[in-house]
Amino acid sequence: MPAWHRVSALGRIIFLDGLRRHALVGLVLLSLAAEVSGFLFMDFFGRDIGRASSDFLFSVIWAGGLMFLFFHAVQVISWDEERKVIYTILSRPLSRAEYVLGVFTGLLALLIGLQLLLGTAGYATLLVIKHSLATFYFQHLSLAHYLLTWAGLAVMQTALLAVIMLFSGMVRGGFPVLLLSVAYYGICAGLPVVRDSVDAHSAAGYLLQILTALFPDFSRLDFKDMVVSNLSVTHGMQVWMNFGLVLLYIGIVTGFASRIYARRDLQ
Amino acid sequence: MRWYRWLLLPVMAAYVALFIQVESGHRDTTPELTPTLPARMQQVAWSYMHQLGAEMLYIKAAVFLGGRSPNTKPESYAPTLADHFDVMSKLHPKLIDTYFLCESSLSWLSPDNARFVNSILDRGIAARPKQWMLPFFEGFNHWRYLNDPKTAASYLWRAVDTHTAPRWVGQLATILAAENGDIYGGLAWLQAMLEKETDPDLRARYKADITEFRKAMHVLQAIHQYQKVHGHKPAHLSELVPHFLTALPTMSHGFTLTYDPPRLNLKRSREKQQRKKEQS
Amino acid sequence: MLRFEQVHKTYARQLGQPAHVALKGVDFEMQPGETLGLIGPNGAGKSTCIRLLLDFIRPDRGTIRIFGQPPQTPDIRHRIGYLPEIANFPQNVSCMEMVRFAGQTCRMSRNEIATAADKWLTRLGLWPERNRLLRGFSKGMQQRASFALALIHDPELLILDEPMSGLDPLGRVDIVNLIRELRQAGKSVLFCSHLLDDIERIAEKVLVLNRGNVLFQGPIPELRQHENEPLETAFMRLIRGDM
Repeated sequence: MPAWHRVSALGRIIFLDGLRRHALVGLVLLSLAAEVSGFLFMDFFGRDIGRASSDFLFSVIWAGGLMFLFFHAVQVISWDEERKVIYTILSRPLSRAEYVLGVFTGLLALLIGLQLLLGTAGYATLLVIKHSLATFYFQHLSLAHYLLTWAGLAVMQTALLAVIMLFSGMVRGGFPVLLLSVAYYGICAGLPVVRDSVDAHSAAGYLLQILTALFPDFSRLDFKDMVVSNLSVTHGMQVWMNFGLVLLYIGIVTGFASRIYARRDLQ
Repeated sequence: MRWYRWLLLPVMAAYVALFIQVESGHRDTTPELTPTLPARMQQVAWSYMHQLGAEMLYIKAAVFLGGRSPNTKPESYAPTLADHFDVMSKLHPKLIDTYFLCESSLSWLSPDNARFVNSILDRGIAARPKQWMLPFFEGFNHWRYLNDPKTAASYLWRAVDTHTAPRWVGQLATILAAENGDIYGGLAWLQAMLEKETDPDLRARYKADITEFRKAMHVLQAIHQYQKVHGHKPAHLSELVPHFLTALPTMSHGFTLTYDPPRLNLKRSREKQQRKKEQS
Repeated sequence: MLRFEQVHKTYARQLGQPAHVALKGVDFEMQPGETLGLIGPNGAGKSTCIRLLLDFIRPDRGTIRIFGQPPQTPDIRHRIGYLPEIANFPQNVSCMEMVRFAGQTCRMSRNEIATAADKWLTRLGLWPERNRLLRGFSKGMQQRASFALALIHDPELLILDEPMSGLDPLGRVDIVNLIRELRQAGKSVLFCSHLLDDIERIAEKVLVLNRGNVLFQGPIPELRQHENEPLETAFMRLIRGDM
């Protein structure tokens, strides 16, 4: 479809612009350093080192992605508007929807690139830790589950990115987008806890269930407990349905983001 | 990009359908119970917090006691210090330093403080039953500050029961018992200690003490016989002679018989002990 | 080619500020091949007209047609080249990358982009700096880079907002000559400028706006009361008459 090469052209510009920002380079280096510090971190544990190390590494990957989203992604569209770069871009035969998709694609490429880099370094760190210890302390490391966990993490952060695009289209300014995005993340993290404490068959329970459609339960894509297990990778349909659900969610949110931005005046 | 407008509706419909399916799946499954760390590890982990708290309080109390000026009146800090020991012993009853510091800093202040220290020591005795010094401290407090040699003797015997106490503790227990009129109890302990003792010098000492205790037992038996005949105990020991005793026994090895009606006490004279030491 | 029919635009009220009426029933037309100068004092509505043409904002009432289609149709911007008043680019992108982006959005092939980039960057004196990041460009260089982006896809209509802004006298002469070349090549040019000398040199027709109203549209000689009247005098007379 001809529209996608316009989207990819803008995505490439966004990707290159982000790649050359010193702040993002610093974020990557900091995250890599934190991952490598996993070698020191494991010394604090007398046992269950495999689980502790993999938890630590995935926490670093998650934190790196969140920092990218909340300190860079929330501001991209507002920067374009404030610096009037958006006039240069939208003077091209690019619709508003293609603009939003182009920005989303560029930021997604940056995010996935960051996750790939950190994921690869993380797995290498786990391998080195595993081989430097007696088997008793780190018995299993499953590449398949590692990849599954990494994919879950990447999909969750892609959903966050789509929501950031939606908020960027709804409000002006990077700071309000940041506040809304952090609030959204907080609700997604807290809603499952609230649901567990409420009777699922009560009115409140049903309401919370409906809210989960708007604020997805990200913990359903968190598989890091299985990275050091020796369970079989073949899971029931539930895992893949959760992935499919969040991917559909990303499509819907991005679609709404495009539609909302198409109606806005650029002032 | 107008085509995407038409795609949005079916995508939303697919999302709703899949959401319902996913939710029903999550409702049916048993929630996952994540594995827990072994109990031993958690006991160690959590107990470290209590131990840490007790140790921090100990350091605080010790620094205060070491740093206060000599003119500081104990009444000004004793209640607060007592609270510290109370909390320390509850947080971590096995911390032995708590009891040493408590005994050395509070017991001598007043009989009430001595009673408080004893209540703290009771916790230590329960937590560390093999530690002889704790019942020893409590016995000492009863004897020295609370003027209760009978209870003191019972605690000293408990110290001996730990099988870790030095031998002189048992001897001291018998003396305290005898001083309080429990001559029979003291004799029984001495005989038990003689049975177990292998050191010849100590055996000789125990035998000598047993001889004195037996003399006192004779007098005690004479007092009981007097009471059977006359219906009351004698006012003086001399009333036992000649009908109940041939003569009053001559005590040696520093022992003296004192009669404080109705109680017959066998006391060990400290002056005579000191003289004996100097002579040897 | 370009038509405004009874276009009204009011900017919504801001906190503590009244609503601002930018255009009040503006009507004008531009034919293919024409060079139309848009002039007026500050706040006349010139930039509003340009933003409406490029679909940055939407009119409250009225109709706008470019090549017979509404501005909301992205495809018409294949045929439009826009030069903003202040050139703004993503900071960490090079001139060549921006040109490539501009070409790709217009469905140009790699070879076409390379040929056009060579032509226009050389013509605008930017070829040696093509791989340098745009944040390192001077204001004049950024203006010329912006010009290159507007021309890379060979548009039929050029919309230039203050094309001489930031240029030194030599640069201005160069741009004036370039615009004349584009006119001779059959391009239509709509440009606004505060420099009436440039308007006089380049434009065939002018559209005079003041406070959202069209005061005059037509050839420059018709604006003058007499043949030798300076354009500035004629302009001031028109504005004062409206006030």
